[in-house]
Parts: sequence; structure tokens; C-alpha cells
Amino acid sequence: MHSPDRAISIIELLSRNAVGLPLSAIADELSIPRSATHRLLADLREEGYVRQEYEGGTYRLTAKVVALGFTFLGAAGVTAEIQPILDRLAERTGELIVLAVVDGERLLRVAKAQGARRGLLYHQDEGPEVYLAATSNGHAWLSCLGEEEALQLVAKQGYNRPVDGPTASKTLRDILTYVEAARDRGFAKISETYVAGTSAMAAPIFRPGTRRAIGTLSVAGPLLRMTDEHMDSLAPTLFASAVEIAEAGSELPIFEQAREAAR
Amino acid sequence: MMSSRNRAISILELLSQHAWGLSAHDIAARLGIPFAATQRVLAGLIERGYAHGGPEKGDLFRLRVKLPALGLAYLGATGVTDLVQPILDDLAKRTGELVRLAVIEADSLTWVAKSQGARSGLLYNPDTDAEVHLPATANGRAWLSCLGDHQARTLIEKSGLSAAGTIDALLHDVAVARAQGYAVVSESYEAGTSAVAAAIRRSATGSPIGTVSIAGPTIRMTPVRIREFVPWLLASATELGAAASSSPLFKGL
Repeated sequence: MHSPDRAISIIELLSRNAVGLPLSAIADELSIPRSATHRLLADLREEGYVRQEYEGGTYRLTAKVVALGFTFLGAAGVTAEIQPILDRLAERTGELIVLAVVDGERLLRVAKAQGARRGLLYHQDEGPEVYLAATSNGHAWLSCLGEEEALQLVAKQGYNRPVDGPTASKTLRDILTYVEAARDRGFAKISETYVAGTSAMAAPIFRPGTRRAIGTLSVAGPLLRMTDEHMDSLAPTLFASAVEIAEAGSELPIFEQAREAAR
Repeated sequence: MMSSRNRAISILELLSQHAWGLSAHDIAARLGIPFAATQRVLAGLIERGYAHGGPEKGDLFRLRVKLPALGLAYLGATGVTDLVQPILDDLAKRTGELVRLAVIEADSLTWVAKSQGARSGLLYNPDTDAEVHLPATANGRAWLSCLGDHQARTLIEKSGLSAAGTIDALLHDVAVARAQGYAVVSESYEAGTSAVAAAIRRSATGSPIGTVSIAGPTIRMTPVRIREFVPWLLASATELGAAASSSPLFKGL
């Protein structure tokens, strides 16, 4: 029996359910007896990670798990070294910037900066893991891998997720076409494959002196502003920021997993 | 001795402050957990993708990016990154100093976001605990100023202050903050730095939900400059109150 793992399972479950869950749903979802779930939640509440609106109400995460992530990013030098690069790119493009990091066989969103202040915002609302089949960050990473490895990763994660983009890729062949195009032009470009009315572009971040991707950097926004031509015109700016991040950050702990994988 | 079910989280908390890693012995010693148990919990964290390290004796254990990614995803789901961060960025750009946001959680104040305005020269970038120290920081005092004296005194005592004279002096400062609508702290939290903070109130109800501060080196954060910042700070606090209303992160009260 692994009590610590259960507490973390509850945090993970609640992080995917921002509006909160009742005790019964948490117990059922994680297959933990209700009495044990009650104890775990009481402990998490005691430690400040979880909050219950009222007796018998739903449980939600507090901001503490977010603060813990920020503490790590601060201690890891990301806040000082990399966030300013993202902020500048957001300012220059006026769109949403996302930095994703290669972590083993997954790509995780680690930091972002929102350049659009008013008007149409591209609101991203999803889990930590990048969906490889239909996102610009996913395609950018896949474009750095061999076809076999890329296909394996896509198949492993799945590629039939219901997404609301009208042009979502339905087959592995479609996805490979996108990835090959990304490899040819050096960055990935998608329009309405993931979210209707939005497009995005992403470039790989290479470990300096290699062609090994340690992360990806994306610009996303409403299709209205992020037209095909506009994305092409932003490419040099995106590349420059990707290089800047590689130079400033490739030795930081967040890229450790990508380094390990390269060995 | 803490209960065993807190250990995984305790280790995550410790490693989040030591991004370059700690040895298993070091972790065990710092947390007062038996070495064998520490190794077991670390193995669990590694298996779940939160940490990596080992297996050689003396090898360092570090966090992977799963924890910040989880936090970012949750923050995204609550709408804070998209709505709140731009407001902080604007204030940071305008003042050229460090702007920080803390949210009220029951009896404590937790840092959740920041934006650094100073691009070069002296940077004030404190490495902080997740929790705001109430008596000594501008953020803490800005929150205390929203409360009655009795409640403020209770929180101050809870934070560890006990000398009656000290508490009375602090309550006096809090009263000043209450009267002027913002709190100023000079050299109190860290030598050479000053900060000014205001409470963020929910637009609809006026109840306090967090605080926002501007902090920097005292040589730049002079009384004159702080007075210049105040209208911007208060305007940002109002805007944050509006933006935050849509976010479950701020439902703490």
C-alpha cells in the first residue's frame, strides 16, 4: 500500500478538475475506499493543498500546488533565464506563447506568456501533456525524430482524441504529412486541427550544437490574426527565441530529461 | 515526526527548492525521515515521473518538469495565466520593479504569480517560500489591513510574533495601511529592499481575495517613487479583482 502515491493521485485528479469533485467521485475514480479517501483529503487539507467549500461540498485544489511549481521554476533558473524570453516573444507577436519540454517520451507544457491583452484571446485549457497528433508543439517535436520513433509516440499516446478542430487529422498518414511539412520548413504550422478558429506555429528547441530537440516553442492565436502568411512572417522571430532559450537554458534542470535521453 | 502519508509531498516541497538536486541522505536528514523510507518514497516519485536520480550512492535526486507542468495546467484551467498575468506584466513594465501576486487561502497568503520589470541592473528576486510572512511583508500587511484588529492580532500571533510591544507597533502600521489603502514596508523583510502592496477585492462583494505588490531595491524605491506607483498599483488591484472573479483559484473565502 502506497499512501504517498494516493495523496499525489488525488492532487493529479483534482488538477484535471478545476471546479472540484465530491469525495465519492474521488474515491470511485481512484478506487480508494471512502474512509481512506476521507482521511487523505483531511491530510491534504491540513497541509493546505486541498480545500472544501463547505461540509459535504466538493474538494478543489488550492493555489499551493501551483506555487510549488513556481518555486521549482524559480529555483531552477527558469523564471530568471527563460521567462523573459517568452515575455518578449509574447510582446512582439501579441499572441499566446507556450514552452514545452521533452520529458522522456512525453512533451510537457512548462511555461507560457500571453501577449494578447484584449480582444480575442486564445484560451488554452488542457492538461500538462502536449497532444502530439494535432498540436503545433507536438508536430514540431515529431519533426525532429525518425519516422518510426514519431509514429510510435503518436500511437502510444493515441491520435483519435475528439478535438473540435474541423480539419483534425484522422489517420497516421495525415499526421505524417504535417510532420514532414514541418521538417521541411523547420517549424510546424497548424490551422484548426486542434481548436476551431485558432492556428498555431511551433519550432523545436535544439540542444546547442546538436539536432536533438530538448523542447518546443509555440505561438498560438485566433485564425483571424494568425493567418498562414502572418505565421510565415513570424518564423524568424520564433527561431531566434528558440535559439535564445537553447543558449540560456539548455543546462538548466528542466532540460535534464532531454539530456538523459540523448545519452 | 510527521505521518507517513505526508512524506511524498514533503519531498516534493523540499526538492522544489533545490532544483539542482539533493542526495537521498540529505533529503532524509533534512526531513527527519528514516533513510530506507526516504528511498522508498523517492522510488515511488521516480516511478510516477516526478523525480529522477540515483541509483549510485550519493547520487542527486532532482525534480522533473511534471510538477510545474501540473501547476501550469491547473492555473490554465482556472484562467489565471491568461487573465491575470498580463495585468502583472503591465505593472512590472511600468514600474520597472518586481510585481507579485498572492492569494488568500484560509489563514494564509500564498504567492502565485510574479512579473519582473527590471531588465538590467539591480534585480530584486527573493527566493521565497510558497507562503507569505504576514508581519514583515507589504503583502501581509495589506491583507491584515482588510481585517479587524482582533482578527489581525490572531493572525500575527499565529505567524510567530509574541512580544506585546512588537504586535502593538505592527497593528499601528496596519492601521496606517488601512487608512491610506496600501501598505509600505522598508527594509523590514530584507535589508536594502522596499515594497508597497494593496489588497485585491472581489469586484462584486468587496471581500479581499489576494494582494499585489511592487518591490525593489530601496535606492530605487524611494518614498517619492512609491507615491508615484500607488495610483498604478491601486488600478491594477481593481483590475485583478475583476479578472479574478471568473477564477476558481480565488474562491478561497
